[in-house]
Amino acid sequence: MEQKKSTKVLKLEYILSSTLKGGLYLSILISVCGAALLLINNGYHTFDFSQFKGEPRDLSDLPALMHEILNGDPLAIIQLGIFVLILNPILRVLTCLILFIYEKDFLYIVLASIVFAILLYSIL
Amino acid sequence: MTAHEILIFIFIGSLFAGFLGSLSGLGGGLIIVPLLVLFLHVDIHYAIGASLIAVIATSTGASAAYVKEGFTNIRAGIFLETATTIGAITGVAIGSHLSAPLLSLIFGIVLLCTSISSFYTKHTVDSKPSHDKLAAFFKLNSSYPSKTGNIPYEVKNLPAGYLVMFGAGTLAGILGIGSGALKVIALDNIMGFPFKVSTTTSNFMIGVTAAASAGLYLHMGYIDPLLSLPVMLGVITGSIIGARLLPHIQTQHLRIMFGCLVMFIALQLIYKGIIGTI
Repeated sequence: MEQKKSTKVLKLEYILSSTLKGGLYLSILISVCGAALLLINNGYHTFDFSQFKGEPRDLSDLPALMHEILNGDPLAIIQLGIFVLILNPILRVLTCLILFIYEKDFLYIVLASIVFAILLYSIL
Repeated sequence: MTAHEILIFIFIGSLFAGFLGSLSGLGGGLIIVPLLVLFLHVDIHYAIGASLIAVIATSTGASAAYVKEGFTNIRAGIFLETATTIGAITGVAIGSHLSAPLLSLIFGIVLLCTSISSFYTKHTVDSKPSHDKLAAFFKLNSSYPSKTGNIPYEVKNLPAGYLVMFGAGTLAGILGIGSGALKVIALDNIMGFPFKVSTTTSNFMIGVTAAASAGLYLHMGYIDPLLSLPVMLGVITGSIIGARLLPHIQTQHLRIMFGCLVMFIALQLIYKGIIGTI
């Protein structure tokens, strides 16, 4: 069975593709700005990754992270870029969900919603 | 190490990892974590977090290209993502309770199996219509574009494929990898999707699975920004370079050379895991 794609579907796919690319560049941009800020201010502070201690709350907990970003903490800014990166696949699934709503495909509206909900549970 | 040193060394190491992963077809995650752990002395938990970020980045970049081409079966992706994301959460729940040596051991075994299996490639040539009822119910049969017009295909074995996807998601959650190879096996060998549809759809799913794991690990403090950024940039750059170089290199020699190198890395991980010195 061949599936013919309407122009609206093709347009949505184009939007999806552009959003993915844009989202990737945005996250890289944010992170690189944070890194630049870090190097300028703090380049000679030492870090050690050989022992696992777990990230401090202001880099792993969202409200605390937001607070640190407003304070201009460079590591928090890099982490924001990473957070934006993680949002990309979630946005991808949301776009698919919208596509299914438009096509009135109830089965896949349910399935995509399940995936979306799982992703939201993970990130929030 | 200072911030400068970290950014530079990790970037170069990840460049190599991305390059190696792209040429050997083994994917980023399986190479990044061992490289970070064995050669850059990063704790495996941080390495897993950083690897997931790199996997999301490469998957997003590749997907942007593939979606336009029309090979990706989005319904198959979403349907199977219910399995992989639940698997990912399960994997994170399990993996976060495992010690570093045990993680190293498991990783080494998975890496060993993957490298051995990469010497044997079997693609499904059987393209007879399957008339599978579940496949029809879930609307997974579709077509893909080619020079002669759209070629239709039908798939089968949904329960088996679904189960393997759950396993792939769990592995991704425990080890911080994309599990692309396993996903392609499920799509191609088990369910019968055409090869190009399998690889593009798998790529579509890899990012989602990694995001499900990464979100949880972020809250658990596994993801360090200073480590993840150069890993992400290095792997993307390395795999682009690798992809550009690939057509110019003899695949047979390459396969064998990289297969041996990866096996050596796998054995090192297993050894360290057993000794418990990681």
